Amino acid sequence: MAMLLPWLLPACALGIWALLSLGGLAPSYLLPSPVEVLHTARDYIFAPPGSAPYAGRFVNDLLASLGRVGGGFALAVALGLPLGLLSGRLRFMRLFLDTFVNGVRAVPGIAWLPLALVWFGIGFKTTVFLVSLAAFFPIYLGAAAGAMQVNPLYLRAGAMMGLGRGRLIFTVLVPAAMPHVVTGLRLGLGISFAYLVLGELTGVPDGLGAAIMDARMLGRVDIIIMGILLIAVIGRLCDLAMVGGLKMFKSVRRLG
Amino acid sequence: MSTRAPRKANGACLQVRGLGKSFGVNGRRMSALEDISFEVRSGEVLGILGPSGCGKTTLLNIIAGFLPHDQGQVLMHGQTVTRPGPERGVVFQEDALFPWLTVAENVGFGLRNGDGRAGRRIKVERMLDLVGLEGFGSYLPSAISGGMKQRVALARVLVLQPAALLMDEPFAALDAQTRGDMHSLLISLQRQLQQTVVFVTHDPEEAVKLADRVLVMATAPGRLRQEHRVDLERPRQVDSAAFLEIKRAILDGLGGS
Ligand SMILES: Nc1ncnc2c1ncn2[C@@H]1O[C@H](COP(=O)(O)OP(=O)(O)O)[C@@H](O)[C@H]1O
Ligand SMILES: [Mg+2]
Repeated sequence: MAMLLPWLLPACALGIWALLSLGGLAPSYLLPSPVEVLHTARDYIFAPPGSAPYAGRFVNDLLASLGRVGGGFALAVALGLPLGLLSGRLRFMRLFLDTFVNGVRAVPGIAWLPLALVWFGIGFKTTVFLVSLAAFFPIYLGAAAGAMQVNPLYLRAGAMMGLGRGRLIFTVLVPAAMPHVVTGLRLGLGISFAYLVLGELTGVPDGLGAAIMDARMLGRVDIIIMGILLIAVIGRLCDLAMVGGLKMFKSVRRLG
Repeated sequence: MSTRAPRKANGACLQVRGLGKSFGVNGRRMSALEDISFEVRSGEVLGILGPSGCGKTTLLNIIAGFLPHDQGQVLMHGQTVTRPGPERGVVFQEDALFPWLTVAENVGFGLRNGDGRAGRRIKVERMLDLVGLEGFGSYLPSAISGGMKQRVALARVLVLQPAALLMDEPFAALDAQTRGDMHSLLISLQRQLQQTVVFVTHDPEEAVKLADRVLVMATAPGRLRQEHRVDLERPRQVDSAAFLEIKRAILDGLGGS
């Protein structure tokens, strides 16, 4: 029962979708049936490239999208994690960073799109910029909250057992802050996919976001729906992979 | 095991001289400790007794190097204490084990790579045996009782062979039975290791049961008021006439002001 529960809601959605489309309640140019979308996906993923529009584009689109998400997310981690930990631990860093970070955070990410296009043009750089900007905040805030809530006795205990500043950070501060850090990373990765699609809607030639935007012009609702489903599945898989990878840290395995 | 840190037989291990400390509270300076002076000989067990809020934790934190002080000096084997270090092992009042490490990993935490992996493991296992936790090395702190946690807390500092063991009401949160077991453990460890111990308590019976010497503190500001020697064989009978006499004298000291 507990094994099936996570799939109940997706199954219901699939059922309603099938009922609406196959039952003729929604015309197929607005809502293609699950079977049609499945065929579209088969061609998109497996057919030889060039045999039809969209045929075999999947691998290329996927790699392009993952490159942009990966680049943007990595940048957000590289900045957000250390700055977050610092501002969570040091009062002057918090005073120094908080006003600026929260001010920038108040601007919806989409408002940066025109500026990003002017600065970076259409493509990789704009998307990476948008993704890293959006993912930075949850990562920074998670690290800051985690570092702030670390039991000060743990730091004293570490110092009392002879650890210097640097080793205290890696062997006590980060592990103790880990639950919040992981939450921030997961939220950051989730929002990375949202801004990936936004960045790819601007006319780049490849990527999952580009595929669904092109499909709108061509009236291919089946491609749009397939693209949305693929993004959902890939986003979830990336989250699972990241959480799985983080399990190499004891603090993630044991404080989870 | 390697030899313990060299020390002069019966020489002063720890010296506290004219120590003063105040805190800023709501813009005012509140004096927490005033003119505290005492010495602890190597191998001695010193108990510091006082009511809640008299400054016991503050005093211990200053000796440990966690807190700066305003006046006076703290010397360890003649060297001024400026920061925490493994020669002053601390057992905290609250549970301060690392919850993401197993019991064995907690005990091995402060050991240096110099011993090698195998050497560290042997030290950890010996120490676990010594505190009566053989077989519990792979448990997480969340899976063991409060008494066992304090045994781990003791083990992780004793494995570093501290010149002085500092304990802040380490058994106050335990039930009477477990506290009694911990007292016996501490007495046997202290005898085996000739460990110098400074412990803080608000319980006169605990002080007389464990200490060679008891310093009694007064509140607001925290000062030393009296010193009592306890020249009784261990383990001590808490209902013997000699024990009760010392306890009475201490209680009288605590009561009057
Ligand atoms: N960080 C602090 N800031 C202000 N006052 C403090 C601080 N730490 C302790 N005090 C005050 O100093 C006094 C002694 O506290 P403490 O050393 O914890 O006493 P004890 O451990 O004997 O119960 C108390 O009045 C307490 O309120
Ligand atoms: Mg206290």
